[in-house]
Amino acid sequence: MFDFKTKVLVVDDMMTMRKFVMKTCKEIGFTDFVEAADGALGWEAINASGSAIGLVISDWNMPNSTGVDLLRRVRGDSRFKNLPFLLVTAEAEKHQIVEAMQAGVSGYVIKPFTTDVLKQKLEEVHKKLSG
Amino acid sequence: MAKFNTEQAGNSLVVRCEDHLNHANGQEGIEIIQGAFDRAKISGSGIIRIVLDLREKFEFDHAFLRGVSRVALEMRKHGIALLALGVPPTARNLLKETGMDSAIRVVTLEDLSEKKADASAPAARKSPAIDVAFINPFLEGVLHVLKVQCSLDATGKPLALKDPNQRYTSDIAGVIGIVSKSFSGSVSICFPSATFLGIMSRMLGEEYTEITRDLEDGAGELLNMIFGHAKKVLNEKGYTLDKAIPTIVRGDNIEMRQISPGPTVILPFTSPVGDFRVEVSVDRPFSEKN
Repeated sequence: MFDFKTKVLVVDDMMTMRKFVMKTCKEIGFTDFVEAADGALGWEAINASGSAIGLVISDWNMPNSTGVDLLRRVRGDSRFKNLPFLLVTAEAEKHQIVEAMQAGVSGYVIKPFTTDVLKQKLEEVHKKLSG
Repeated sequence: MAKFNTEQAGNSLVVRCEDHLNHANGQEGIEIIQGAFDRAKISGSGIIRIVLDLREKFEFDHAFLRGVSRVALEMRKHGIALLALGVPPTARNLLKETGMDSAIRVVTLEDLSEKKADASAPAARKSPAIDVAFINPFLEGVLHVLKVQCSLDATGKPLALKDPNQRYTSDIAGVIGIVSKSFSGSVSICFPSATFLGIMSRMLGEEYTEITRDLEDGAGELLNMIFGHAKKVLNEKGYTLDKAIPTIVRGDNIEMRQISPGPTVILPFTSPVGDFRVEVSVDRPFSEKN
């Protein structure tokens, strides 16, 4: 599993969902968070942090700049090639999943989800990236 | 006193006059049709049309037709069609001349066979208001989302058609407008303040006593997830619902009014933190999906 000291970037245009994701992450054990309200702001946060952010949990559908837009920018920068990136969505369609896979997503989780489901997804992501 | 016989056949209520219907007993006939309509609009009745069978029993009566067309217009607001079988030519002409044929659809026995009726009588098409196959995924979505996201066991109460003459208020609502090949309309989730605060407190693990601006988007997020659940199920069944973005409506005792010619179905819920409801409004029949 991730080191719980890892700084987590939570990206979602809905404040309540950012709060929910952070609450769930806290239940898993994480304590350090950065928030952003869309993909563009998420990118600014990643850039500003250098390598301090160790995990991104981003909403898929957001106005202005989506989670996949952010993912593409992240993967397009060699510094963040291996940054764990989890997408969150309420309606994952097959073509969306393929699109996210091609863009280099580490994993995705479908809303609504419990703490156990998120924990399991994060374990899978960690295992995949460690292996 | 004329003898009427009312029986249900599938999703139709058939009102048959056993005696001759004329000026003397016309008012009674209107009341019988009104009674059938009252029965049809009861939540979960499954009735989408009332067939008035006048074959060989109807003596031309203008007042009766006027009264029936008034009931039929009201029925139409609830997505229920009135079909009249066995209307003689004189009465047919009158219906046409007076425009009453827009409320009362004259049909033949042949029209009433399922295929013909669907092809030739749009007003009698399968109504979304009582299409349980369409409504159920939203109901399941509400229960699932609240259970998983908020550890809340909500319970669905019987569905009802929204009565245009009744006020339905709430303090915060999330609304998603839907336009697709199969369905146009909207889905709303409407909460009183106390219920919404209770749900958000459960979801976010903090006690909230006031709906702040930051908290408002929770209504949209919940609806987003409910819609996501319903969309997946419905699209697997052949509907083609597209992605949609929720809007939040906030105010004390606000009233949601759908500007739509079609009916609105209300899905009422009760939960340990209070009651709330989901409204599904339909602008266009689902039968157009094909």
